[in-house]
Amino acid sequence: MDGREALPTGIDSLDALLPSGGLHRGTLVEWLAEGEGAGAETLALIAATQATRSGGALVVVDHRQTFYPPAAAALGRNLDEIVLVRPRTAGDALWALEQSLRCPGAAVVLCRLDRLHNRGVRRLQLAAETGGTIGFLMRPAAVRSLPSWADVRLLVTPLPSSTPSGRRLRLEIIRCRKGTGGGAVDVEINHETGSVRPVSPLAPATSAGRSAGA
Amino acid sequence: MVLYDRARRGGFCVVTCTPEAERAGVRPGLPLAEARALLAGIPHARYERHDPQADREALRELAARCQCFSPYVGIEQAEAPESLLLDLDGVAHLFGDEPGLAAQLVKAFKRKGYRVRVAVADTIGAAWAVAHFDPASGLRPVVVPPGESGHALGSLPVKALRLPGTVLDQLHTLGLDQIGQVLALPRAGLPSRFGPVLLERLDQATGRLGETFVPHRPAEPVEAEWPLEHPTADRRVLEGVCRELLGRIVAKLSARREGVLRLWCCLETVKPCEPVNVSVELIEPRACLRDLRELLRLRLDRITLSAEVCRVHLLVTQTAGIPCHQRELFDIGQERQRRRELARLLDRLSSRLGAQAVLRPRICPDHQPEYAVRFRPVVWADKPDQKKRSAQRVCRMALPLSRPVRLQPRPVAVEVMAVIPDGPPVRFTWKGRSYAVERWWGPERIATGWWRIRDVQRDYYRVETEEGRRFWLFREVREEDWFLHGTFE
Repeated sequence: MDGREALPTGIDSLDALLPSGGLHRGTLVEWLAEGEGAGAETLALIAATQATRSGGALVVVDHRQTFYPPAAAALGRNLDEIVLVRPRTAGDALWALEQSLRCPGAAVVLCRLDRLHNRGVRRLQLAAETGGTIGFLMRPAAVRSLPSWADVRLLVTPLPSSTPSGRRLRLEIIRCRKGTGGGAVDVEINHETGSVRPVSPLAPATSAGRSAGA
Repeated sequence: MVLYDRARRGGFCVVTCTPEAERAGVRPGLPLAEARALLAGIPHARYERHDPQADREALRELAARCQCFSPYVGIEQAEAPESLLLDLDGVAHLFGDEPGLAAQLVKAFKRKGYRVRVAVADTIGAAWAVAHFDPASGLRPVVVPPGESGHALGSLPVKALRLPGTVLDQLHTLGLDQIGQVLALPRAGLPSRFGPVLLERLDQATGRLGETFVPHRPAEPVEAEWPLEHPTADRRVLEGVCRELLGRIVAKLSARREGVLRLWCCLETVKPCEPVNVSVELIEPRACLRDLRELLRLRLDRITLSAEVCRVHLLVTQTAGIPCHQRELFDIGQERQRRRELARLLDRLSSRLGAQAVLRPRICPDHQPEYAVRFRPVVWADKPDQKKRSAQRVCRMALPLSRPVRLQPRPVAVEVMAVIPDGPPVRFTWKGRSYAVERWWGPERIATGWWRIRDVQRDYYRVETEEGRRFWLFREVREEDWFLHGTFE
């Protein structure tokens, strides 16, 4: 429809689930997670690596002022490409988010968005389309049932890791504009390298005592 | 440190270098690859592209500083000016005498980190020649006594006369290498042999012909103001006034081919209220009227007017030259376009949210996690960070999942239940939810030195709950209290 090629996210298992093999510029991607410490933003930061590699900045709109850049740096992000926007009020945050999405100079815009009526999300989607940016919206899992203007809606659920080699998460596509939703994959983020590998849910659990500690 | 630029034959060659590099054998004109090979043993060698525009700006700034020594300061007329000319008529006695003035000049420049060669003489030509080519001027300022210019010039090479290359070649083939030899020749024959230039320069140097220079005048500040006949607090009127004033400012600046970097707007209100000051800071110099209007409007939207405004005054406090980009035939300037758009976005965000709200993170080599990162507003000019490389190295040593993506602004106390010996709590409660710890990594002892007023000693644990959620907890060693510092979102 828009003729823009799909950008691979760098997470092969996620690309395999997406119908076009990647994310399109000018669209919104919703990362849903329930509760705290679920791991969705870690995956989002890894997925943003590939998009910013072709030029453009990663703009993080952080209204609550909790974003911690050393974690992003440890995941391999280049801090020169990150711009942190810390508005004081939620209204300012929404304005900043829209302005950043509208700017072609930003490759990916990351923001935590708890509640927003659908009209607001539509505005953001139009802004992303104008600017050709990819918007990563981190949202609570409760919005799962609501209709959405985002191109892709992903649900990230933490899994108890049975190996100390990495962190396990389940990635599910709830909704995808072109193609069918419903694909899911279990991935593991390696503790040493930060790379994301798919794991079979039936992988045998090795005993913790024998493996080397992280 | 080596500055390089494109050579005529293609490739890069050295333009100039520091004495350290010179000692290693690097000379102007050397191909860059050779220079790199010569300096391979020096680890901190830096190579930067030569920027003549920046040189000229710096020279203009120095000329402005020299105003305290002489009312007339000029920059030499040359393609790549390197010298400043000061007229010392009637000024020397204020500093004692001429050698005293020269010594103070050297000291003033040394304080700024510059090495200078100073020469004082009757004429511009003589002073230039002595400063550039007299070996003594490198050690201390040389003062040529009045009337003895000819004598001082005698032993200097002919290059010191500022002659074009063709004339120099001719003199060289004839074996005339020193000015003294040229002075000895009969004057009448010189113009026909070498052209009028040689005689002109000789006369200028000896004082027969007068030479003047154009004194450098610091640019007058660009400002515009508008007194309102009927004081008003109506936003639309003020916006219109600002539009008109910005138009005038942009017109003045575009003649100079400069853009606004910092703009200051003062709204004087009807007494007894204080005037309202607003400032707009930009990342890149901009002269586009539409952009400036929008940025000013965004700033003014944030202020509340308590009284009516009777005068609007706009002053440009900082400008910078706008480099002209030659459009390439196939416009591969997409990268540049993107960067420009990003700069526009950041200006807009800084204008409305404040400069402290749009930041670039910088890793600091500090153990305490709250201080391990410093934020710098994007509108503050970026200085090349030498420590950046070492700091990035510090963070790359950290494992990918070792630091939480989200850090609480302040560590939050959590209620714990039963602690594993030498480990984290078995259960803890946070935000009304209870978590059972299944796996944990640690402890990571983070302690700051006693010299810090509020020093900390913490044992950090990365815990994973039975659901798979991960948190960053720590125990304050001295008080034995447990806190949650971050979440691995």
